[in-house]
Amino acid sequence: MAVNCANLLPIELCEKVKNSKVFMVGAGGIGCELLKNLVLVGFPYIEIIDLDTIDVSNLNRQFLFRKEHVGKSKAEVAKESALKFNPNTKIIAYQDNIKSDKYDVDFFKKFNVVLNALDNRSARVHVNRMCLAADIPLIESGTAGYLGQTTLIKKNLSECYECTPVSGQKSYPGCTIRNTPSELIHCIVWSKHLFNQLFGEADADEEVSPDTEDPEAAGDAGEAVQKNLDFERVSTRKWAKENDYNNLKVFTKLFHDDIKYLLSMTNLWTERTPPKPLVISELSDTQDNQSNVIPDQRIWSIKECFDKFSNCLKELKERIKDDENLIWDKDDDIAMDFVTSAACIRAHIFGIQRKSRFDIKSMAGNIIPAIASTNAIIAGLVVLQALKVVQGRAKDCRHIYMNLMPNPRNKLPVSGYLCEPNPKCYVCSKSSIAVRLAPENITLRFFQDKILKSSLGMVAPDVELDDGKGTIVISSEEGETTENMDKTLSEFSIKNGSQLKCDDFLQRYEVTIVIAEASKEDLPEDQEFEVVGDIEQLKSKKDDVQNENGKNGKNEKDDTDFLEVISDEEMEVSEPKKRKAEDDNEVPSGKRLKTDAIEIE
Amino acid sequence: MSNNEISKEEVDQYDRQIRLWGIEAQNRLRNANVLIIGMGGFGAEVTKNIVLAGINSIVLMDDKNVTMVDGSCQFLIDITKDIGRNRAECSVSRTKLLNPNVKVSFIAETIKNLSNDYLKKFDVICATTGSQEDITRLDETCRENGTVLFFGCVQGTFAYYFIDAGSHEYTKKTIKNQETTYSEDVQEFPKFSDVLETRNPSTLLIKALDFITGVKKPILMEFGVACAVIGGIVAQEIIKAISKKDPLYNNFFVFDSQGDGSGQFYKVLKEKYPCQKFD
Repeated sequence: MAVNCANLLPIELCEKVKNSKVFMVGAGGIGCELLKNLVLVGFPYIEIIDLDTIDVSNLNRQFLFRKEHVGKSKAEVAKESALKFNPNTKIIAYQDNIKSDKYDVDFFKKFNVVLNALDNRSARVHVNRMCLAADIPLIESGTAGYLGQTTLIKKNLSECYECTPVSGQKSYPGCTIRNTPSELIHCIVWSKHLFNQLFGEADADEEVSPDTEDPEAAGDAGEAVQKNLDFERVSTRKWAKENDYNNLKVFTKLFHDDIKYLLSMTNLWTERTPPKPLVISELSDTQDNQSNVIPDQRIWSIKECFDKFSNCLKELKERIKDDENLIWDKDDDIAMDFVTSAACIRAHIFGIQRKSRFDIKSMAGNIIPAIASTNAIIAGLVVLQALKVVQGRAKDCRHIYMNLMPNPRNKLPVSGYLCEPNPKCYVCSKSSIAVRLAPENITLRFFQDKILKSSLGMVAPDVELDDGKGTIVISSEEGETTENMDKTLSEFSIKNGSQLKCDDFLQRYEVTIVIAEASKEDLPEDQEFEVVGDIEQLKSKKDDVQNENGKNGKNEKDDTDFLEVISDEEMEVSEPKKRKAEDDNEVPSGKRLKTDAIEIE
Repeated sequence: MSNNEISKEEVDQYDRQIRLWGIEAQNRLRNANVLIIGMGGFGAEVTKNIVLAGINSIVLMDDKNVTMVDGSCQFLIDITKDIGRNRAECSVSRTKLLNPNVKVSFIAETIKNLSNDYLKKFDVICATTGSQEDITRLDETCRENGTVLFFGCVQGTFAYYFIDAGSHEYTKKTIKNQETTYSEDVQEFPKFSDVLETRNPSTLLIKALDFITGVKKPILMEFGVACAVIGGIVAQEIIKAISKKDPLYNNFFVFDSQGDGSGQFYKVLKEKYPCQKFD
């Protein structure tokens, strides 16, 4: 049978490889390459997990899959294909969610090393915590186009995935989306909201009608508000349904009446080009001469947008006959046509350059380009790191980048020393963080869903009060605390300085949240809470706020606050790391050079 | 060269890369013909990456038969069945499965026996084996024909490659004050025989040159992980060479998989070589 690593690697390392167990999380772009490498090197025991099924757009790089596999489980097909390279390997495949409690700390503990080949932050956060809790080394990796990186995460040795706070995903203020779009992306976000309002689950944060509370327009929309109230009371979906999704009525309401209304908020247009309401009979059918492009790269005329929009309304109306809620998906042709046409019409109204369906799909679906070669390089480097870990040389692992060009020393890939854990990290170092909020406005449900789960990455939290009795206010056991969920924090006497012991049993993750009372005015615009991180930071933050308010008065508009988070699926990349040192043979040991980390959107 | 238009199916299949390098580059790839010399682990990795990218045709060439050693790095053969058969021939069926759009064939030949006329039909030739003499001759022919030549080897855990793209014309992208402009540019590459006379003192480079000139004995195994890394980089450079987008890395690369994970490029120029002024 295959020779594998013998004759090439030290005998003691081969022995260790032969006795190792590896867990690979994700069987996509990096995963396929990684599994091939692991099997060829001779890793005898590999478990793989991926919830996804194979899509045709995977085939340009995920070489363990073929056209006839489209729709099948990635984990299963990857296993079958890889076994052909070395039938002696034991591979166990799960088509499952890594966050399931089946994969608990004991499950993780049976492996020598865990290899992440993931495409989203939320799963990365979870595996990070599981590996810290189980004290198993984790090799993290990610790619985006020509760029890629891999690093080792090991408790007490190197920084964890959450040591560097995310710089925040791209966000747009609500009133920019609803009232004053200035870029095509604003129109695309608006169109996705419109899709949800008309056909999906309505979200109060995704309103598409003019925002009368726009601080910029304050005071000049009095009469108009009255006129519009009737509509505000009925949900967009109900209104559309009552009008049978009539294309003329929907179009006129969105692209004429609402625009007229926006024009009545005259303060908005003193320094902006005012939008132009559209009349169906006057839609232009002129197209720029566009040659040498594939059909999807042609920009639609406004008349064509209207026709597409009308057709989508008709098709989507059929789909929600049984009061179903649709979920927007970039790979659903009609859903994509809908967003393209609506975004282009809105862009036209606001004098913004339109783009093709192809380009809008990139933006709306947040598609990260991906190619086989970068994944192959990174997956190779991941295995080099894994071999060091298995050999007991974890400290020799590096943070390795693949860049567009070699660095000034002509190195590519470029490696740098691992960073030490951040002593302020609330995941791997510290056990408490401060959260600013108004206890009378926050329900336990919001606290659980938006703060503990969405923001702090917990899966099934338990929360205990510091009231001397250890009252459990949120329990991960189904039904135990349901009656609490709609009560506010104030109703449990949670106030400034209260400490909540929050615990996720699956992740073996415990954090004490210290409540810092903040009124709505003190919080960033449109936000109900703010995670400050550590307590010292909270103190300086308070000073800042007071200084700011002292200087500028309250309610200063801040464009960066409202978070419009675009789906992060398709991300085959870890978040950009800020604190990196460069490794180089020519640099005396101990001296570190700062270098630019790859910034990946 | 075929001028047929890219189909909807191809656009769907190549979506994630068209979004990276554009439709024009994809069309250039669709018309490109590549010869891979030596179907060991390195050859297999390069083949996989460029076939997935969607070139027009690939010819796999090898005069050796499959041995046990191939099982540690060559995933395009079936190690349970193919031992003793020609390596190129055995690699054809799995290569075809990677991407049915690509024409795949093989020849069981040695470099010496390839005629200039035969070599002319390739846009890129990637040799993963060959003596100094063979490659010197091949390089002369490629320069005459306007073919881009890659020559590299994986010797155990140590890997290197050299590129001669002759006078390589490409489109340069410049971003200034957030405005992207494109301009035509030319890169000049020195000949293989000139590069061998370099006086660059780097130990890694000397090690690679010693393998090429035969001072060091070849290692008969390729470490699969080294193949993956250098195969990825060479494939990326082949794609760049074909699509004529962005400058190529000039012109010698060394990767030691027992090192810290970084790779090293060298701009190896013969002293007083006239193309120096271009770099």
